[in-house]
Amino acid sequence: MAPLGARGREKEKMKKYRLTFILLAVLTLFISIGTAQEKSVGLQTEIQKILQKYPAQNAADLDKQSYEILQMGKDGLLSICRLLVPPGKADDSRVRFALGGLTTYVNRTGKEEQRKLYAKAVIKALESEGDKNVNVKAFLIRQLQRCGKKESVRFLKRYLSDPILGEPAVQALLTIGSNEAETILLRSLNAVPQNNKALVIKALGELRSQRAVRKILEYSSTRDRELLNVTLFALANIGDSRAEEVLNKMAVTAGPYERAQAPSLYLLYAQRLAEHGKKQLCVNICREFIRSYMSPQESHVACAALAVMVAVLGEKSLEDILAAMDSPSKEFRMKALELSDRIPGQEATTRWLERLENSRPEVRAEIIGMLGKRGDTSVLPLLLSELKSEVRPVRLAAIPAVVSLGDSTVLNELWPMLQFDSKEELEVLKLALLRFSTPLIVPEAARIMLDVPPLARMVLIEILAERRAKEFVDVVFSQAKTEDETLREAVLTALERLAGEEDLPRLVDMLLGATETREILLLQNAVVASANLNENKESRADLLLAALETSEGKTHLDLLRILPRIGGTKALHSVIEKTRSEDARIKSVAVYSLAAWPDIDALEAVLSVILTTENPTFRYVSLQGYIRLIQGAELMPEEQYLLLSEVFDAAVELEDKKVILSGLSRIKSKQSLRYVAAFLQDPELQSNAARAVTRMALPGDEEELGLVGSDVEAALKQTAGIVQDIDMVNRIKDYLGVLWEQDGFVSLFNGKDLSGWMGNTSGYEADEGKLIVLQNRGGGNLYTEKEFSDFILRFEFKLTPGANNGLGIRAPLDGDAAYMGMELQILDNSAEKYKDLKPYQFHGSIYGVVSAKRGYLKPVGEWNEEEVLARGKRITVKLNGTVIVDADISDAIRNGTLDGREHPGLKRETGHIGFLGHGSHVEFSRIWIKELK
Amino acid sequence: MSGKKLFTRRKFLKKTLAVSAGFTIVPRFVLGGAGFTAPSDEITKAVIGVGGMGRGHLKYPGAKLLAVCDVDENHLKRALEIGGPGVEGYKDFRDVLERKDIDIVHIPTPPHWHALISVAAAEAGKDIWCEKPMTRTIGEGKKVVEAVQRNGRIFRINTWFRFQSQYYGFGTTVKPIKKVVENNLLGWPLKVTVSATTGFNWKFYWSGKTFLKPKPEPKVLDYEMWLGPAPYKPYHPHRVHNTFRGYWDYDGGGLGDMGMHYLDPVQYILDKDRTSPVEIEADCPQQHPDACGSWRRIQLKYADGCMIILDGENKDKNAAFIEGPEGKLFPGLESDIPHLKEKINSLPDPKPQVTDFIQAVRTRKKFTLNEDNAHRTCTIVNLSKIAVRLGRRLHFDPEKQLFIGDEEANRLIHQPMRAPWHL
Repeated sequence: MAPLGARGREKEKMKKYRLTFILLAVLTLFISIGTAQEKSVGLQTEIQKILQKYPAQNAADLDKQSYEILQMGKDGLLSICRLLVPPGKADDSRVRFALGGLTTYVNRTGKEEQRKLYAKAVIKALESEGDKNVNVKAFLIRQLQRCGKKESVRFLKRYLSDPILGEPAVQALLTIGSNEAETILLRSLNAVPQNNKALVIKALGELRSQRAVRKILEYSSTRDRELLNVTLFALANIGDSRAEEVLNKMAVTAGPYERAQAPSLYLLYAQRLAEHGKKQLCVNICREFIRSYMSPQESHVACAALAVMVAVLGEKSLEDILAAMDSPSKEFRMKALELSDRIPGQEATTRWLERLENSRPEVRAEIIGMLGKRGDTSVLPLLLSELKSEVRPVRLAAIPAVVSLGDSTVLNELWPMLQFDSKEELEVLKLALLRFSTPLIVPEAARIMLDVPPLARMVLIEILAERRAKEFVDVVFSQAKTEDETLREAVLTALERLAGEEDLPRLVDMLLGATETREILLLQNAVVASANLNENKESRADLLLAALETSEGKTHLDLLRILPRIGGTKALHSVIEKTRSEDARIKSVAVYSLAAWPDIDALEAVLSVILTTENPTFRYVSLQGYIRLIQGAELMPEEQYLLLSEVFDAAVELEDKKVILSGLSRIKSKQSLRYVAAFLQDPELQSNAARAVTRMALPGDEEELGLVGSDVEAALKQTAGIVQDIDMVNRIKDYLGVLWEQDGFVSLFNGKDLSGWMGNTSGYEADEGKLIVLQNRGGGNLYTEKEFSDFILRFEFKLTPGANNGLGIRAPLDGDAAYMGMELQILDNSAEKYKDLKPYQFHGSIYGVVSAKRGYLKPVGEWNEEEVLARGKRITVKLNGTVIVDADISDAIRNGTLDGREHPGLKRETGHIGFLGHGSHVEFSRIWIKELK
Repeated sequence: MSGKKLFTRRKFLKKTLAVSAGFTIVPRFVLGGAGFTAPSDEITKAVIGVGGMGRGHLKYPGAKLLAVCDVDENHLKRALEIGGPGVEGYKDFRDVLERKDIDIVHIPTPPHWHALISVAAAEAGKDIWCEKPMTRTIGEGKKVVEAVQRNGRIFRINTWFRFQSQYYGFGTTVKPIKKVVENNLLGWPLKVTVSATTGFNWKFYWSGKTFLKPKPEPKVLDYEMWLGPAPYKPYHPHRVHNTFRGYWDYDGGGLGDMGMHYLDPVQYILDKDRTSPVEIEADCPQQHPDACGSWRRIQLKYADGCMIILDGENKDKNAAFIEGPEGKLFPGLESDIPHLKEKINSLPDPKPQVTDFIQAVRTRKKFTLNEDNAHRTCTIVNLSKIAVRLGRRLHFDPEKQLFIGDEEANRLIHQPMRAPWHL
């Protein structure tokens, strides 16, 4: 309580009743207004009981619960509706779950009676809501949107003029539909305020209300842009010829946005005309549009007109589609070709073939593409002849077309095309050939390989590789010496996929003779692939090792480099031996190769490099390899830990240590955590250690549990102070809460509302995990409902400049807690205005009784952590990890209190815990308590 | 309160009543005389919605960025910095669509805007690159398909696994899977299981919060416009940027996020690009009316007996990705069919696909992942969403694209937009 004068005015009368939770509070309020009070009480208990079951865990439960609620009848339903509160007021999500569930339940087949009952209750709730929050009403109206029928239509009428509820009401009417809904909307149009006209007109337009045309037309000259927009849409969508003039004129008189929309809306209008039987009128409009809108930036309008026309005319539109091929717009032609599939049949095909004959090359290609998709195989002979066209785009279109229409005989026409030398064409050809199965293409590809130009040969090699045609590997090898670089690259690339085990010798030979980097790389891949086909792991590298002995210089290194990709004991020994080479380059490559070794056999050798080398890069690379090997092997966490922690002493550079910490972080064991936690104090390594601690200690994504124990807790607390990422800090603190819970702590604050608290609840607010003392409402005292005697209390708090609050413990609900109970001061010590306070008035002090150590508060605006231990007469206060009060009350007052006043509260053995607000903004969070028995 | 800002755009007020000729029927647009302006060589684009997802679109290669648009000033500022000189910023997408020099419009807004902007872009003659999920409802998807096709536009959805990249945890591209199925090695009908076992993790961290305390709308965000066609609900930061997926009003949780990525290839593999499942069933905890939650299992059955199982709990630890009467296919092309990998090698390739969007725009050939099949894939997502929300077995007519005998489910297919927005 206020330590700075103005005392005594805060004597506050506590309310007589206690709120078990906020829902009940709202409920109680209702009961006191309601009528059948006694009967209600039973019903309310029943409702509370069933609400606790939400959300239902499955459909069967939801059915059962919904059924139970419906058994409560109209009164029960109404009561539940009335438990809704405005968003944020309190957590009414259970109520929303229950109502949402009912909405769905009553929509099941055979539930019409229940649906009526429920809809009527929702209506009744809406009726009796009075001025209650519009968001609550909107929620109820949305339930009607989902389950309402006739009974709801008439009722919703009353909201059409409402500035906010008009919208959901219209949406509900629109969804429910019916003549009556249309009538209601139509009749309301004149009456609703200006701001609601747009939504009513939009709805009438969407309902395509012919009856509304006359009335809507009245708005067609409005200056209200929003209204004009929906008016024009509505008129177009209804498609009544009375609107023609308005829609036509729009293109000239309106603003640019309407003008841009004008053609689309006019076409919509035309389409509706056709639907109403005025087909010819529609077609005339479309033809006119096609004539007028063909420029590149408008041809989409012509497309749309053609699409509408084809939809209306069906097969009769063939001439129009054919004529479209004369258009200069590619977009339009392609649209026409797409629409041509609406007119199947031989007759149309014939017309297309005629059209094909009379078209310029670009259009020919387009038509051929369409014919390929059309599926009419009668055009195949003609398309096959197009393969021989002089014009490349035509050939390009014909290739996929003949493949999709023909069978394997078309291959006979495709093979000769390999004589063409355009890359683009060969690519299309390759895709076409690959559409056939291996026996149809692979032998032939191998056979003609040498007779085609290099570019085509490349395509054939790629086909062999794609199909893993190992039996034809020789012909591919035969091309390996070609002068043509691109071809050579294709060959070497293909060999990786084509070479067999028996091809290893010639590949090794090629590798030994290769000089260009790219070539060496590709050959290394091929060698590795071939060697690894050998089922005997031990002999895979034999050939390479032999070559290694006799090679020197760069070749020697290249061979050494690929050994880890093959593995085997002999190879490993060879690599180990090379790590001791006198030749710096050989040594270096060997160290890298060793560090990259695929299995744990290399571990000892790698470790030996780490321990003996003086080259920092070797050490670092080997450390990385060492960790990778350990992680890759199936070792127990303890073994992993031993192997990793052991090597830490060998770390020299900071980076060495970091990589080991990161390795340790993957081991989820307490041993490992303890080891890493020791580095939380090391300024150079603490952020790495912190990352490692979180990774080890926190629960993982799947079902992986977090680590537990007091050392884990200590490490996490320390880590929370190091980590910068606020989400991570919250994750750590949430998990600490879990640990505390296991340790017997319970949370005093649910983060959402003031459940469990009493007193001046209006001076405090719960907001997403924070308990906020509201400045403008004075704060006042907020007490736990429960009383506590001996306990450990943990909480976090954040001060504002000059903030003043207090923590009451063992306090009665009446009187000044600082005297009638005990107050632990909460104060911004740094504020200028407090500079003359007495020592026993600063933060943490037992007010007037014991002075706290100063200097341990975080700067104002940052979160502080406090722990209060109250055991008998002993009170200990720990602030941000430092004990600032540790006192025995009996000792402290032996010679009278520091402030010289009576503190009868010190004798109390139990009481409430409370925040004692003095009108400054303070935030609390994560409030936990453990009672000591 | 709703959409009042619609026509207060400065630009709009400047130019009004002009232009001489009328429809009669139709005005003729005059673009530099009687001839046609040649299409410029460089394809140009605008990105509408430049939050986290949209920023990625700025740098997609192939087209020159001319405009960015967002209802959040901070997003816009950042995008303009990335975009550099020559890129203009807009708050209202309709101003972007009015620009005649833009060919392609990217739409990485939250899903409740996809349909509106897609349709408006199609009617303005733009080609479209839209983020997944394509639309928030099946009804909206139908409208997009109609508008795109009517206006002859090229449309692509922003997923790609049917034609490139490793297919999540399956470990290979989709092509060999397609070959196996297309050549009937597994028999018919097939059952596909999409779960962590088969390589796909459903992201339930997109769940929404069931209790939110309204917060003041940030000054930099035009919340009214952000909501647009969605119902008005008081502002809370969790409802918007980065976390909007948790709310039915805007998206559909993990299904909305990953659904099309995971399921489009399934639809392609099963050759269901032109149809939809006929029976849908979900096993899940009850869903909140506003916030999306998790689910355990969703089962979608096609008319020919093919089935897609979405196993949210990863319950079936032995599940094959695809199971047919003659064999099973597991991640990495593992199979109970002997020598399957070798067999795959000798099989013919599937039909070639048009996989270069910019090329598609130039040649006016349909992109491989276009409005048609994207709408069907998104329909799988939307059917699943509805099944999860209603918790009962649903029957769907793939032709009419309506549920059979379920009025409430159909009400979720067509959800009215807030005025003045409409399709």
